[in-house]
Amino acid sequence: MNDRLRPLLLPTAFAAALLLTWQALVLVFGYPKVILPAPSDIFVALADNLVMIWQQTVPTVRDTLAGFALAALFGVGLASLLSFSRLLRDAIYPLIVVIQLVPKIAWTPLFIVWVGIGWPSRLTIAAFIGFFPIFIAMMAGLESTDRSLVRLCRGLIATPWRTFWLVRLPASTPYLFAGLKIAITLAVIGVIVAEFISSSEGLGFLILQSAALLRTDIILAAITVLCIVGLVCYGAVHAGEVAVRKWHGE
Amino acid sequence: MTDIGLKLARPPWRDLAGIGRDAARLIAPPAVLAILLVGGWEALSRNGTLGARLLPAPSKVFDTLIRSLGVLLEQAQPTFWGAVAGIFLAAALGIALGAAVSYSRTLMQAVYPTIVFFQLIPKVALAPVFLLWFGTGFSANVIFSVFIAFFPVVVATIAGLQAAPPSYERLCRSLMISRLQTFATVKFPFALPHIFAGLRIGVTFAVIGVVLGEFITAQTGLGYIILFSANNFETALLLAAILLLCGVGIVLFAFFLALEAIVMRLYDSR
Repeated sequence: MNDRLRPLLLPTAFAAALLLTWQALVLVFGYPKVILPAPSDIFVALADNLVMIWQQTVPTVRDTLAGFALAALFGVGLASLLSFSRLLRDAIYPLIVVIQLVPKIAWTPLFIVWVGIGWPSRLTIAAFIGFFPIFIAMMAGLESTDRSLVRLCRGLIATPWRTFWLVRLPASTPYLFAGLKIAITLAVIGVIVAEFISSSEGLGFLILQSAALLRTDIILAAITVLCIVGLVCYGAVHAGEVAVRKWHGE
Repeated sequence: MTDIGLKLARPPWRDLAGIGRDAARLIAPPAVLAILLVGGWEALSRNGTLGARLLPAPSKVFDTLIRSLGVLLEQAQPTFWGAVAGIFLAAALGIALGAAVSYSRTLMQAVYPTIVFFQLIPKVALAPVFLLWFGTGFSANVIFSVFIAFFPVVVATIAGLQAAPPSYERLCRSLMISRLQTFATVKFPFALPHIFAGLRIGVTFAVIGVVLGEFITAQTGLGYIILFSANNFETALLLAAILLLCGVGIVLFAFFLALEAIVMRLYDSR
């Protein structure tokens, strides 16, 4: 096996082996489909219910992306604002770091009390959960700026705005994208949990309803689609990072 | 000031005062802001701008917390111990698997992408399946919590075990030190900061795993109280339960910070 193919072949082989073992286990021990459907059963369930699963995927993706966009807007906006004022930064940043530590998913029912059981509450939860990693990463990025460059800007009497735009913002992009990547996975989780708790649409709703009907094959088919959605969203953020880096001429 | 190699004698109380002043400068702004926020919230609730259902006054939340403390503490126990069991099992499994996988390059190349895949996908969606497999009791919540908290630990362990400089490993090899000893004295100490970073993420995930199980089965625990009070629009009780849950999360987080400080000091003093 040559060295170029190794990193590609080995993981594929491992994943294939896992799936085959799963299929073999079900065939040999004859687990009931309710407990553990075989990968082939899941594929059949996915193919049979493709339209229904697609209909439930649309609201989940919509709420996730909208929540993520809001989180990015507020996270980047607030962090940028705080980089202009020492006092505001000292006052607000520690409070947000403390809130960052607590399990925020558990606040989901609170948002349902506040915003209602419709899609706005799911969007708000996704935005709320996604906000923290973006804000924290952006702050870390803005503070990682080379001090001497900032001093040089001040020496050349650049306005604070120009210093921000030309020096601080480019310096913080690697951090920002690390935060965005965490936020997009969290946004998906937030929407799913909100759909578990109160919703009549979305993949989370479909999963919980299928659990009540003991259709484990449909649950796992829905989760397969959800994994693809999650990976595509993550990939899109990664592609955005590559594009921005290229644009900056790295 | 440039260092001219001259030690200026400074009275120790001067240092203490300096530390106190630094701490005050650090804590005062967020403390003032927090007081302003809570005060404003209290005032708005008192004059009726914020409805009691939407956002009851902080004093009322505190009042509810004290009055329902017995029930809340009773319900906090399965949540707390579930999260404790979850993070410790996840830590043991995650570090062991991370170490085992790192032992062979081939094994790591094969397994690592699958682990990263699981790290990226929304695992919470599997909660109903876990309940189908393991029932709706305490142990099902713990197993789900382990499942959620396991991945950040294992990824951090694998990343950490690669953090030792290659020259150190080469030195060990030329000194004919066994692989196990190299692991114990070089690779593992270098991995520790990474492992603790993974544990810090894992501990929050462990709490989330337990609470999510409680949301779905709705029988006991703080997750149950949160969902129950949300359904009945008892927002004061809801906020009190969330406050207590935040307490649980922060206690566990602080425990791991302290553990990290102790372990790192042990390794430093060697």
